Amino acid sequence: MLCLVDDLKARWLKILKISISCCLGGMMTYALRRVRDAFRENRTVEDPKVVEELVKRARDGLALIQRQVCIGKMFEIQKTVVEQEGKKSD
Amino acid sequence: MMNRTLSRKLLGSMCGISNPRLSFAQSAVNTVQREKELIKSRELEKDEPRPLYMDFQATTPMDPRVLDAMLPYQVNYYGNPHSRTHAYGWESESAMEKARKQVADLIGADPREIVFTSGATESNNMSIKGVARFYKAKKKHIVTTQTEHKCVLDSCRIMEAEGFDVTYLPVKNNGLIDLKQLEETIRPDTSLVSIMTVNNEIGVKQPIKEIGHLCRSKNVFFHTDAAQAVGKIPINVNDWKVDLMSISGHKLYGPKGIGALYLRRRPRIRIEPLQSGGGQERGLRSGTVPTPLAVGLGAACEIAQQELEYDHKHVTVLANRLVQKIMAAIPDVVLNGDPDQRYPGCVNLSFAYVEGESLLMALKDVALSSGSACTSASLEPSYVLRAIGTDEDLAHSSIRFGIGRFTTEDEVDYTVEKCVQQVKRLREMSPLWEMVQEGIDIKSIKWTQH
Repeated sequence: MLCLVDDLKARWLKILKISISCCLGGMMTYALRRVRDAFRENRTVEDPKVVEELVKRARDGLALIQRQVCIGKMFEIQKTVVEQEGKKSD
Repeated sequence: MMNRTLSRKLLGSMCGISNPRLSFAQSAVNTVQREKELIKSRELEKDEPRPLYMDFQATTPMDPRVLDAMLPYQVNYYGNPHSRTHAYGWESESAMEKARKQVADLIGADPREIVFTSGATESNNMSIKGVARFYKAKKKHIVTTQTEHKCVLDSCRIMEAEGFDVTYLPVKNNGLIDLKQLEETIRPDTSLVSIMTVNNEIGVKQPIKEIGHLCRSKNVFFHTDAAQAVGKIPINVNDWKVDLMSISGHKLYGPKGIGALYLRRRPRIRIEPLQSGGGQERGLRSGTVPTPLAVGLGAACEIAQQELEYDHKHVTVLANRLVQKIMAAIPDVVLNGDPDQRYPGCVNLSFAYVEGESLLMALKDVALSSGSACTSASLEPSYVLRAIGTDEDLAHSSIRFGIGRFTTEDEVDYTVEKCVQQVKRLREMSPLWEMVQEGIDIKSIKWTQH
């Protein structure tokens, strides 16, 4: 079970790196927030079957984010005012 | 006493003139056509930053999970879902039926009760015209409210032209209907009551459960336009005793061009179809169901069901932040609609002594919508704001802020900062604000017409 969670954490870090590099704005902010909150909501789950189901769902979700990030990069447009200001302050 | 120049200037900017000759529904329809004229459209420059999107009631961005679900059906699984003789048709049909179940599950319905349409406008048309025409032999009366969406009001206007009697119920100052008045309005020959769940302009949530029970007790069919409500508040068509419900795909992070109509099976409601053809959708809506769009709607509904509570919490926090920050920074701001019975993501504020369209133009970094419809030739406030009894001047000063799943705290803070800044700037330019600062009661002034 620990291997599954570690594997997930590694993928999550990868997604974070992608999001910082490409910055898809509101959608990515939402994805980061949602994934972080999902991790927190389920951190006390111990039933192995439930954990395995959650991990599978998380893997599918992360794969989806990667696909959508690729598509987003292909059709990149101007940043919003807030995103531009956020990038400057970084 | 005001001089002529000042009174003319103020009259031109602030007073509305409504045309008494137009019927209520006609006036509402014409308002939209005039709305587009003042702010000129232009394309953004290449490096020009995009405005923040704060108009979630107009439409919503497609959730990436929805696009992910749709793409295979745009690229590879392109079969016609009504083709019965090969795998392309079977897999397309299977996807369509899965989507139908996803839509049904969100509202507590049976999949056989869901009919795919092109959107809530078509669903509303089907409901009002379909029910009225089917039962016209014995029932000739329809009840709706003055704050309904334009497609409902226009459909009712068409039915009036066909000889039906339509009652447009007024609403209270908070935007809610009076249940007692509704009960008194229902007649033995009433075929349909149509009342929207959440208003698209002011966000007010009607007591749908109570209305449904009332209509059931009177043996009258009940239709609700739930375009702004589905996926945002919990809905159960059986608890609510709703007979027809309109659903819009692009209001719940799904694709544009698809919607659904819920039609109860028990007790059965029948409608006269608007569109004839190959008999798809049980003969109620002929035409090939666009599988990718239907899959998108289904995915959007499934995601909405999973995320409903989470999204509602997020939207409520941001909406409260927006309203409280604005009201703390500037005086004379009014929240339109009931403060409790509402969907928090739709915030309609009136900024006194500031013209709504001017504020929209000043807030060019934020994509917002005005509650009023102004042109240089004719000034008419939004019919919804008029229906809730908002003063003409406040109706002209209203802005609708739409908050959704992807809105961030930074976006809300930026919007608040710019809004406060621009309202203060516009008020400093406003002769009315100057008069108020001097202690003059605006309402006591007798305006002259020239």
